[in-house]
Amino acid sequence: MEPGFCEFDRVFTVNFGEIKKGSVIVFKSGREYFIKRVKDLKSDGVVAVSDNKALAKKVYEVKRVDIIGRVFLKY
Amino acid sequence: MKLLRIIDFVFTPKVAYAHCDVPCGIYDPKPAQIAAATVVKMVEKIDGLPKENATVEDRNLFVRSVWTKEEHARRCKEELLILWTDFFKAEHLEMFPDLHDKFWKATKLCSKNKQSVDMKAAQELVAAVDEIAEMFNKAKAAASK
Repeated sequence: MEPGFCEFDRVFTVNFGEIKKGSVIVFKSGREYFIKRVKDLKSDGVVAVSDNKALAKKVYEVKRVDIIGRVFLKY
Repeated sequence: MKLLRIIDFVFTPKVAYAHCDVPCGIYDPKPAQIAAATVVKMVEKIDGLPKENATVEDRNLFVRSVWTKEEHARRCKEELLILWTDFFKAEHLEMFPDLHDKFWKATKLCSKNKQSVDMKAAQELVAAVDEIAEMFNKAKAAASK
């Protein structure tokens, strides 16, 4: 997600409000947390991808229940 | 904004990954194969040292060879775990029903080779890693079709 989000950046997430296309979200996959941008909305979740395709090509299909929240502040 | 990081003392942030492991989409069994071959080489070196009247140089070589064997057995296990947990997916179990068993046994051999100086175990490790490399190549070939 560089250069928008770099190592050691902190983010605040909220789990209220609408998650739209383009929202940056934090979600859980397995035992790890990931931060990605919403590319598409589905009935039961979202499709999330990285902003930095050179480093991360993987597409994540994320269920709503796995979304920790929408990023609203980076600090 | 960075002043807000004072909050870390109260709420420890969790790590969220922004990209996949090192780097995305690039997996290779070669590092595991090289590490396994190194374990064999080190066992050869250790076995070739004199059992009696060892010189300081012999003892130096012994220590270095044991350390190198330990490090490469560890590295082999690490590389295997990356392939097992990151590259291979549930759908690969149809192609390779014994995938989990092969990885389990190979990683057990990594430990055995750390614990002992045993040429048979070292060669078994090489064979086990080569089998996994074969599965990897078949999986990649199937994915590219």
